[in-house]
Amino acid sequence: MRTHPGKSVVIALGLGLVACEQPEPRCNVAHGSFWAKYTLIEGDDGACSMLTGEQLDIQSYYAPRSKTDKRPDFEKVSIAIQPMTITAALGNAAGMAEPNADDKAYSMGLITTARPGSDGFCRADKLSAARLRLPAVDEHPIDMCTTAPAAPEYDIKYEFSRVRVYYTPSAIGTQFEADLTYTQDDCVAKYRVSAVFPMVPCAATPAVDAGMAGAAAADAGVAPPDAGDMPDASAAADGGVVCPPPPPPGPDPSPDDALCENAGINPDFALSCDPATMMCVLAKAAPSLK
Amino acid sequence: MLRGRIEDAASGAPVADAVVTVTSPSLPAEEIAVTDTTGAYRIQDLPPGLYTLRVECEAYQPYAHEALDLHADATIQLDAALLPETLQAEEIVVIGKTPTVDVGSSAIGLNITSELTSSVPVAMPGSKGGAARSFEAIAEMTPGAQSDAFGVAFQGSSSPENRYLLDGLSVSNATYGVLATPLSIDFIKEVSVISGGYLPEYGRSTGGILNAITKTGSNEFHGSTFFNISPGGLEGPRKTAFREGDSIVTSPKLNHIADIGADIGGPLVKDKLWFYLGLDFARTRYDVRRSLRRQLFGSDGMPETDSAGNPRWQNIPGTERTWAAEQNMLQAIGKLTWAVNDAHRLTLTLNGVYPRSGGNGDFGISPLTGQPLLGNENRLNGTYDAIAHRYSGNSTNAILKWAAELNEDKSMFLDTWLGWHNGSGGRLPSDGSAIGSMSGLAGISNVWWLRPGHSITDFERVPGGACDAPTNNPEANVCPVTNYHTGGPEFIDQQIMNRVQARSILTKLFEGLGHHIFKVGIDSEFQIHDGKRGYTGARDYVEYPDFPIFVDGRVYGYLTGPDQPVVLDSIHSTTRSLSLGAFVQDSWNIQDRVTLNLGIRYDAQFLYGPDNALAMSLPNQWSPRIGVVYDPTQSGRAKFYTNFARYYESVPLRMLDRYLSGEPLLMAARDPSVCNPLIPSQQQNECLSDAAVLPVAGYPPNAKYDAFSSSTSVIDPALRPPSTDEFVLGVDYEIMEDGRLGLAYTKRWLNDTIEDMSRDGGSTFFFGNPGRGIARDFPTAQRRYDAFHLQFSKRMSHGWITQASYTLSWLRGNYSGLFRPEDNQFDPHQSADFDIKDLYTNRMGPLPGDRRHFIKLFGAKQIDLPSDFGYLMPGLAVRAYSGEPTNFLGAYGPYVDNVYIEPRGSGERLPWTCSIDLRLAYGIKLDKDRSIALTVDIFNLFNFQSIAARDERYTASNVRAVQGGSAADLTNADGTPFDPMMQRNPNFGKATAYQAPRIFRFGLKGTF
Repeated sequence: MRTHPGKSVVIALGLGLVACEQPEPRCNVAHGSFWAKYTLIEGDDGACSMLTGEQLDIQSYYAPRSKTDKRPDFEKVSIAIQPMTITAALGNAAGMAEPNADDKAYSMGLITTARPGSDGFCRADKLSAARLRLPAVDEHPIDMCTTAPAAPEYDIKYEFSRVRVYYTPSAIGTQFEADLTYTQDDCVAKYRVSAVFPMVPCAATPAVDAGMAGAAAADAGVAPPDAGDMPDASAAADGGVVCPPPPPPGPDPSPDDALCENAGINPDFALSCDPATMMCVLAKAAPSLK
Repeated sequence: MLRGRIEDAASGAPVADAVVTVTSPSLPAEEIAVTDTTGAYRIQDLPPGLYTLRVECEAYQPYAHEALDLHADATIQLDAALLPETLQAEEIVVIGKTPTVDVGSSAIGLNITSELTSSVPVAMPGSKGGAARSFEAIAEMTPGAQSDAFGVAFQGSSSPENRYLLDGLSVSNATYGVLATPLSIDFIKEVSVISGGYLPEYGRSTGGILNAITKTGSNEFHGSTFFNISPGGLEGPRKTAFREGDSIVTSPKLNHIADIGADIGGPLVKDKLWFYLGLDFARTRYDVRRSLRRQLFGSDGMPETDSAGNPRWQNIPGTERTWAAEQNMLQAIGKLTWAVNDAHRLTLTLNGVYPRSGGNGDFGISPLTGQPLLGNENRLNGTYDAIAHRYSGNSTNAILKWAAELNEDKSMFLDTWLGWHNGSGGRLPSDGSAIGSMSGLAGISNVWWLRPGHSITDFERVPGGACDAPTNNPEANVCPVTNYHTGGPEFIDQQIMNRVQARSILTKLFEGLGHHIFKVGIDSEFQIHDGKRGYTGARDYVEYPDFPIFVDGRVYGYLTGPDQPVVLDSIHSTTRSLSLGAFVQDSWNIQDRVTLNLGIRYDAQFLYGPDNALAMSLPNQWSPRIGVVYDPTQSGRAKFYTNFARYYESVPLRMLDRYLSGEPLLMAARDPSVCNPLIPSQQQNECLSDAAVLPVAGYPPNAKYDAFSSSTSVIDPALRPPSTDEFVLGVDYEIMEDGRLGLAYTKRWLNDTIEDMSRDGGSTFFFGNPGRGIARDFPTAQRRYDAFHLQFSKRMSHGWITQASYTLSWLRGNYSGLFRPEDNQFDPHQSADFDIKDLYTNRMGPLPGDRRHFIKLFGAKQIDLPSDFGYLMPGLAVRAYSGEPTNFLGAYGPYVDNVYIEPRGSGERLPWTCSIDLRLAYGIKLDKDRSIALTVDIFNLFNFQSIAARDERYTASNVRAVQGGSAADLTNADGTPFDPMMQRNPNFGKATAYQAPRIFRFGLKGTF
């Protein structure tokens, strides 16, 4: 490409003399598995009002600059959220039942702010609904050692809205808040969602449980297993079958806030251990900072 | 600078108004100074060379000092005592005896004169710039300096951190920071290597300053023609590094390295306008012999082993093939010097270096390293199309210098440089097809075959069933190959760089409680970087070692929604960098006894991404420099000195071109039952079909694709520019005529560097200072260097010349510099060092450049033969370096060789390397102005073949670093036990390279 040094010097001088501060980041969100705490805002005593928290898998996407220019437009970013309940149910039913073809397992919407606001938040107000309609599945073997449990029929819907991702140079989209309308069959409840990356368990007497395995995997930057129900590749590939014994029952764990420190979550975040889920969660409304 | 004091020989009183005149072949016109009331004189801005100084004053006998030897960047004190005319004596003529101690400076380093480089064996052929004998190749003579992969490194830094100046302006490669213009020493008058303690007029370097001054025409015509050749037939035997478990054997051998050139300089208009022209053509050619071997199996069907238990192999006849790796390089320089009048001089220099290599059936030679490039692992483990490239590294410079004396008493000067640099670099497919094109090799994906158990017959025809398994062991792999490449040549890129520079220094000499040399200056440069890069076939395929799938090793692209990929054939970005700087400094000499060097420099660098948007700002680079020099002799024969300095780096633009411009990547896994990428026609058809893409690579909501490194990056608002501090303490003493002994202690420590870091396992990155600001929970980047240098320098006099040094040094930390020597990853400020926290354990320790001892000895003696038969000059160079540390390295995801299984430096240190080089020169004068010199250089006379590198890859498997244990306690990253039989690299700890063998260079040079 031809460039004109003289013109560029003038442009750069003009910019350079006034630009001793770093450029503002562009809005985005961290990719990976967040732990979300659900706080009930509105709902009756039905099953839909019982959510306490779960793993949310987050990705972001770009739009091309135009129809002819395929380069990504880094200021047209969409966020997608997939609840682990849906991922796990789909994994459990794989090969046994098909979900409704019109449903998406994720909720997705455009981040409408190109740069974070003065409060550090990027916003996505409207997202499509994540929905799962799936027939009931009987208990079935996955391999010689693992059995997938029976699962009821699902008809659930997650409608996330008003997603507010805290995105500053020191916290690159690793905590967010959102509103959630959750529908299970005919039961509707509204929640406040508060999510943090990565997932860190905080049970003081750690037992081998699904949350911990998932958190350790997320911490290592690899895909988390979904609730321990996925086939174990190493055992399945092995041919000779020696099934591991089930973990012995341990004493009841208790939440320990100290386990949330220096465990991979941004050290600036104010965290606490959620007694309901034994996972580290944001201690305050976002931005939850010390 | 030349300075001194003129006094009355009888009374010792200072002589005012004495006229001091210096003349030299290096100086087109004479320079004059007049002594002040204290008898002091100073003459500024003298180019290096041999001078005659004359002092004349009414009522005194004239005084002359001939053969006064001056160097670049040095202050020499020369005092003189004038005899009153009343004593009726003859004119005093002193010859030689130039003081050797630079009494004005607290810098350390080495002035490398053409006198020294023409006497001793330097610039070994085969080293970087060795063919044309580049000025960089001789900088290794400096005490403690050592060659690294991309140049010569000083004081624990990496070579791209150096500032490369040619006639006062930068000739660095904008992308990487390495030297872009490796001009031949035949065109260079002198190289001033300042390895530490430099004053504020020098900046933008956390390494050393290489200041090369080109030759200039004068009132007499002078020139030379020269020819040098290193024939491959005289190369010493090379040790071959064999790899266990692999049939491919390669052994490179020199074919020849040669150059031919000429230069001429003289007057166009006497006393007014002079010219200098030079041209050199250099060629480097290696023959790379490649053959295949088969593993021997005994009658029991089991592998045969030798007495040491190693498998036995046999060459397969008919598989030998010799490839060439060749580089041709043209160099040219043209210089015009115009004395506008007594006070103003203009110099215009045009120079360029134009290498070509690779393609048309040849392999290339890297313009960055000077080494043949023979594919991944450098051993021809693939097809020609898959591993050969064309390389370019052009560099053209235009430099205009205006030197002005602003007042008649020669106490104020203004030196101004304006420059333009145009460069290009990169690697293209061997057929020359264009980046982003889908025709030719640019349209074919590279395939990297990593699954264990491949036979060479999977990829190549082998005659006579030589690789057939023995009948009693049909499963045996007789001809195994590892890491094989097929298809196109993978990553290709091209950069075009333009830089305009302006620099100006105002010098004022004045009195005030002593003599002052006050300088104030500005220094600015603007760079435009046009970078294009891509992967041939838009992606490369990697055969996954553990599962039967192919993964996309690298694909530029992004997702518009879950599993909705957009692939980019190439990425093209135009980026810019603006550097603005200014300095003020004073060199204050008090009674010729104490010199105080005080100053401060300010720099700011602004990096602009595509669309002219500011991408990174590096302002507030305040560099204080303070030095004290004490001359107890008051006559320039000794000095004690100390210096403190802060240095800031000029950030190379690779980071801006790549990550700060956005380099989105995609990954997918493909089903080998649908896609066989060995067949080029399948690469763009079956392999890209929906059926081929397995739902395993993505994280929810994706299933099939993973997108990472997607966005342009986030930068710490409190980002600090990369800087290093230095403390120097030393003493120099003239222990003999023309000879000085020096001892210096140097301490350097890294304050800050910039690196990319990730909190989400490598999905998103930010740039910051490791251990500071928003990255304060990351490990602090450290690099600490301590060294004692003992140095003896004796300039050519009484027929001999010597430069000798011993350095005792330590280099420790977790950050090597602008490239990572363990795997030569060359992504300045974007290395893998701080990327993710899984890699941080055990990283602190001795760094790759940590050699405890350096012994360097260069010397030559001129022997005049009787009866005008000319002279003989034998020269010697001895280099002995203790070995570097090595490591136990493992992998973690894409980070191969980035897990320090044991603490850094736990591997066996490399052995000492020693090289004894000889030069024998015979010269004869044909008449007063014409002479011929014949030279023979023998490098590595005894053909020492020390191990130069070991395989540090303990395993290619994903593992966790061992804390407080050894490799025996290793576990895989997934927590399963590590199986040494299956997972340990059988070549770990074995030699991968040996010292360069003995090589001869014959030279013929005629001068007039």
